[in-house]
Amino acid sequence: MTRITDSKAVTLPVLLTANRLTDGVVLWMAGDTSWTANRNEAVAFTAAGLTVARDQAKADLANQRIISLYEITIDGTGKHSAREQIRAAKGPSIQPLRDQHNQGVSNV
Amino acid sequence: MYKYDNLDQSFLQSRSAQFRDQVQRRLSGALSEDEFKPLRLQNGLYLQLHAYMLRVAIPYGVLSSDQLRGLAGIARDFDRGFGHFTTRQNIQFNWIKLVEAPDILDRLAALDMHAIQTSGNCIRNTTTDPLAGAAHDEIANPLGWCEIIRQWSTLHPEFAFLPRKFKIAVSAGATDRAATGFHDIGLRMVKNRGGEIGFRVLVGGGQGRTPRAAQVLNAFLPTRHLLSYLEAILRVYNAAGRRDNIYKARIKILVEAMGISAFADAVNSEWLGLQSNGLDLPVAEQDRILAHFAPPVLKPVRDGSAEVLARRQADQAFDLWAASNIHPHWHPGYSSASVSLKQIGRPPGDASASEMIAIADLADQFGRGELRITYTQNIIVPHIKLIDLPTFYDGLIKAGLAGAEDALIGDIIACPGLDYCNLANARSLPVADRIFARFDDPSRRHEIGPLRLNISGCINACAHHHAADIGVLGVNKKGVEHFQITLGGKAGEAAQIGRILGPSFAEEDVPDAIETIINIYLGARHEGEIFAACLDRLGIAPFKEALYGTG
Repeated sequence: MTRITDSKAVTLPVLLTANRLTDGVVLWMAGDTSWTANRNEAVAFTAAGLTVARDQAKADLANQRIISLYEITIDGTGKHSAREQIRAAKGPSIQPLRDQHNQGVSNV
Repeated sequence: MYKYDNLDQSFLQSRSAQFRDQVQRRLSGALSEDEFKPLRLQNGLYLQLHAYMLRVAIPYGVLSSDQLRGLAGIARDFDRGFGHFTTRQNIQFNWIKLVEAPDILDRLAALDMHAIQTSGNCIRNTTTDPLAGAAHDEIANPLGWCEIIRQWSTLHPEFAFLPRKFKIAVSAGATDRAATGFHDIGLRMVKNRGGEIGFRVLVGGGQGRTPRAAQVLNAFLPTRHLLSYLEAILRVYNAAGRRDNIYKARIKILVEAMGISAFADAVNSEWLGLQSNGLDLPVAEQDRILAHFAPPVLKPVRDGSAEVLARRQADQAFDLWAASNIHPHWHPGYSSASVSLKQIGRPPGDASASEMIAIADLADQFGRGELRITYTQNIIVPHIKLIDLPTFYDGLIKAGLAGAEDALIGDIIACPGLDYCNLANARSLPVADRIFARFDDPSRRHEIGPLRLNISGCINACAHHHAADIGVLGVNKKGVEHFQITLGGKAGEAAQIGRILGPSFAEEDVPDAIETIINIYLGARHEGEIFAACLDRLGIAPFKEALYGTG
């Protein structure tokens, strides 16, 4: 993977995000145009870097690595929609139920 | 219950094998995502916010205890140890991996279960009264007719690609507990003057961004003509329903555009040609299927009323539970009991694997090993002897499932919302929790009395907020989650769409708003007057005034 270094930004920065085909896990494109499940490793691409990133993303779509690719524009306000906050948190905002595993055994 | 035969089981196994092949071809790239998506949707597999979601069919909400244990096993082995019961009496698993989905379908097939037609533009799961076959007020048991519809609609070659999804509900009780007035087709079992049982056929109901109450299409359809008549309705819809706009594609839009008279004429014209086509079941086949749902032979039992009364007098918690969660049965010595899946910290309708197993065990011990998933996202155990209710309740306490919520303000119906769903605008689950916490006192909930409160995370209205006494709709207001409140929805006999009260509220303000509404009701109600009746009497003006001061 090519390491992308961004020079002067001519457009608003863009995050690339998708889901992993095999399990639906939310992914973010990192600086080396690999995919990471860690939101903190996501890089906002601009200009030439964005073109390379998009090309790599298209290739990853074609190679069955990712699905549901889309871009999030970073407008500098620091605000993210509730949807993106929840996706970045990798889980719901409420505690899901906990299974008391030792209370029974399935018959299957 | 309907028992799968070799033909049914063979079909499920081959369907599962077919899907395994489709998944392998997707993973290899032989199928593109555009090619694969309709195939996975036909097997109930969605891509949601965090993972794939699998919607498993529970035909007309009926499960055996073994099937519920099997679902618990799937929750443990393939998900995160829990499942979500839906307003269409199905179950959803939220953390599925595509690579494991074929294994899950195999596991389901071994349970005589599947995920076929739980998504896509096809006829979905037929839903019904969760008390069917046990209710005290039924004209007939609708379950057999639901099974007939299921067999007719599964893989129907003509209706695999309808303009949009299609939902049918059947009720047979004096009270409509299946919300038939809000379905594409609602079938109410009725008797004509001659005492013959048939269907009152309703058409064009629905929720979503254009909610509509269904209209009467046929006041009395003899039962023997059910399939040919349904076929006629679907043919008219399939031919004339809009395909140019996904938001205008449901049958409710077509019925409104044509007018009910013209629509009825079109259906009757289509039906004339179908009645002699052999679509209607031969009586022997009809009776063969209905025989699977014959009334259970219930052992004679002494009247347990005294035991129940004694426990109610001695135990306030049991008294509250009995007041809300026990349902009368056609046999005087028996009852059906609701297991509430609603409490603080629990997403409405969610059950852990261990809870599913505990409920299955209780159904075996006290019922007949049969369970019902309700439209309100709870579970009913039918056919419990009255005399066993106190011990059954003790079993619920042990399982942490003794909530006394049924049909009260704590019995919130909520969709998964933005916490899980790709379509949602707002989170429904934290709002549900806030409201439940505000009304945390069980005595207060009982004092308020019967009240349906539903929360939808978006206009698709999967939680049927339009049909609720108090509806809450999540909206996106300049990127911030807000919640609009409606009043006066009715899901029963006279379906009615709730009216928007006014501007939306921030999440933290919703409990105050709900409490204001409740306080207006409590202050104005006549003795014994439930919320819905009080609202009918007062209108929404006093509630609007209290919330917005608009007069």
